Amino acid sequence: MTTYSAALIASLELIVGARWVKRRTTELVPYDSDGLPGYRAQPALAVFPGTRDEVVRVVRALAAAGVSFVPRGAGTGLSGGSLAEGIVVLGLNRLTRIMEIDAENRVAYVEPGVVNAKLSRAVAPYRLQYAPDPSSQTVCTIGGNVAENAGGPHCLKYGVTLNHVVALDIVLPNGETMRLGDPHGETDGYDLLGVFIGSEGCFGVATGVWIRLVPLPQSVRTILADFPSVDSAARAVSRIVATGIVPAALEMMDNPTIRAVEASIYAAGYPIDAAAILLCEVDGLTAGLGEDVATIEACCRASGARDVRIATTDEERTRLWQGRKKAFGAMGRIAPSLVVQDAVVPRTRLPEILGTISEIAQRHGVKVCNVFHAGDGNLHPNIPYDAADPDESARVHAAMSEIMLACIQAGGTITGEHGVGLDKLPYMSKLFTEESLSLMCAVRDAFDPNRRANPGKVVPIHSCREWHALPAARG
Amino acid sequence: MTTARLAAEATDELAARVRGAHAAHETLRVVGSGSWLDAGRPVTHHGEVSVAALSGVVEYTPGDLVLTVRAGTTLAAIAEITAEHGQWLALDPPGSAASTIGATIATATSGPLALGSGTVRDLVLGLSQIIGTGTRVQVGGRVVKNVAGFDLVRLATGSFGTLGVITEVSVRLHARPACDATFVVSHDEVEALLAITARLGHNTLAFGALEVLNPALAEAVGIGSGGAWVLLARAIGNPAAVQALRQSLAALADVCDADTQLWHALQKSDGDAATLRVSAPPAHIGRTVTQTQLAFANHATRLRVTPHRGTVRIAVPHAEPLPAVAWTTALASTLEQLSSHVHKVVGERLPSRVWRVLPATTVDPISRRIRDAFDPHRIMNRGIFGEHNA
Repeated sequence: MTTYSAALIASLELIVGARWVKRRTTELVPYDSDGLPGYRAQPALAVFPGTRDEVVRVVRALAAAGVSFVPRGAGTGLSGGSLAEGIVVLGLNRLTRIMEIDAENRVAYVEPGVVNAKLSRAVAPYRLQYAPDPSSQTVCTIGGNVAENAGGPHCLKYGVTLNHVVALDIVLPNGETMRLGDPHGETDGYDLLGVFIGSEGCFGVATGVWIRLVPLPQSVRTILADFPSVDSAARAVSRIVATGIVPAALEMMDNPTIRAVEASIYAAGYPIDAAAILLCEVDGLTAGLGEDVATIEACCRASGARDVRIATTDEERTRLWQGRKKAFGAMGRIAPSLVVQDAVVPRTRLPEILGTISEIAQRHGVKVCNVFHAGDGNLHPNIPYDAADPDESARVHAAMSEIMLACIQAGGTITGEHGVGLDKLPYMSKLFTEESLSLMCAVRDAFDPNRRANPGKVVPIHSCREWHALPAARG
Repeated sequence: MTTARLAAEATDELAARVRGAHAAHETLRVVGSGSWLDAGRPVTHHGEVSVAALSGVVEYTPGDLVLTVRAGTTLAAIAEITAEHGQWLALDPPGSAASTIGATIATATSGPLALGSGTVRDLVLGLSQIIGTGTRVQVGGRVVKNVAGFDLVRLATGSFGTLGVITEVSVRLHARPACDATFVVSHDEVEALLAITARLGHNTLAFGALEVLNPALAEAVGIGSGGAWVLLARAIGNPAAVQALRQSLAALADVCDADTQLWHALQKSDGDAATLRVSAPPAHIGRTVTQTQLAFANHATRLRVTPHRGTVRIAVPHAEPLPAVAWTTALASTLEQLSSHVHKVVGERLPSRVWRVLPATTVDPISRRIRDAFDPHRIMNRGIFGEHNA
């Protein structure tokens, strides 16, 4: 365990107050893991600045001492990106102010610790919304969303975090501050804002986020279609996408997921004998929405849907969505641990890859629950298991590796919205050439030449080899 | 020999050429179709590298709504290929249809369709690039959602060739919906048209494109009528939605229907004009337009106003009776005057002397270090951003 100089600790305590510097093992337990099961890594220290100015001063103190750190929001990340073994956790969840809502120009300026759903609630009176809606939106923070370039079901139509952030105030790992992008006008030069978003805390810390708000739709319709096979549901997805309608969301759940949800307190009234369901939402102007719903229903029926239901009340819609958004929680009933995987394939490869995943799962004797953003080919094959069982853990790990490789082979990618973190590091060299990876390292060095911000994540470089050996010790 | 084989050889040659130039510290100008070579600041160069020979489809599975093409493929060719499958690349940057996709991405040039379909940055999914050392890299991918590794696609997009030559790109396509209609509202006062867009409120964003043209530009695209300003709105979707959007406009003004070809005319309207954009918060668009008009009162200037972005695009045609030097001087002084009034001025295509009025672009240390990582000898399009170390 790293021990820091008394001088550094004293200077951190002076900046944030002694109670916001956590050093005792018991105090650090909440920060030794994130949403990725099987990984536990105890930080040496956690510091929680209360203002933007304190963030800058803390980063400067860490820079002066040459100490590495990991920025952390709510810790809901699913790729191990916020693990900070033996180094400093820089917690940003005290920075929860929404500083400005400029409804006229449809922008908001918020601190990084603002909870995603809270921002949408705050702007709703102006008939505006913050569109990206990860399943963890009731707890995850905007800062974390920026770091991971988070997505969510409604990103099919509205785009991911990247498409909704217009500027960032950041502090570089060396303590210098900068504004990337422009809250109002356009920018020229390199798109540093674009490359910072999704940099998983490796490029510095966002202290202020300028959000582009979008109008709340006039009307919303939610469609639930029930299919006798995963294949027919996947065909319906292709048919819908080909019509030119861009649904707000187009989600698929397979039978194991449906059963898990229906057996839980989040039961949404899904047909438990369906092989797969599609949850499709269209929104926008009221005029024309009925036609879109009819077209989508026809696509589903033509693909073999047994039944198509259209939610007519807000309560019914909310219930249908709650089942989807809490599906991961519902799987918690099945086993003590859950790997929530994330990969993307070209949309036309969905039926084939779902077949492959099922075959891999059978071969390794693990249970896969698929619940995912079918409209953009973003898979979430999830495996409930017992992380305390070494044999089962090994089989889960082997199955996941094969699934990742199958997605790469299908022309896809290893993560659509959860990030690389630690979990996906081994696959980066299967996806990118050594030249591309070393260029990524060089870009990281442009922001953080000493590699002190979230070291060892995202790009497998020599300095992060030790992370590969991190034991699966949770559960 | 197959097209793919020829393209592979051309790419190899290109990489070898850049490698050689890197070793010799020889500066290079990157060229697409050569239709917009005067975009950006003047480039000092010993030689040229062209991607014109690199064209054609690499991979296109219509069901994926993703197209991978070589960088020298023209926008016209992409339109043709995708139209066969009822799809399109929803990009309408100013310029000719002979512009290449590589140059469009390198310059991050979007047009009116950005309102409904996003900007270039929203549509590029992945690319292959020969960086300034001659090394070949691929970044991003062929899927619509991707957060694997740092987003070097974003860096290449809008880098004006300073980070390397783009050789292949994957872009997101859209399926063409049933209806694509264009509506026109004319008025003598621009304020009246801006008031209409303000009253449309959030509905403005439901259109596929919405622009306001000054009388000179309206004239140039063939819809000018007696010196009136013109609001052009494009509605894309199912018939009922398109009709509803028309009605939302008709409730506020007299609406005429127009041919969608109008947008092509608008795209091609620049000719050899000097072009730039000014922008401010959208709520200030009225003031931005006024300042722009005041500044350019003495020229036959064409203005295109994008209300939801708060942007005014300015095209100043070279007035024939005016000698080039006098024209340049007038333009530079006008621009200087305007710069102190509006939020941001971005040059697109300006005479070299006029560029000096605008501040250089790539000045922050991070951008400089990124440039060094991709192109340590700064051989690629040197000077295009007005870099200090040119």
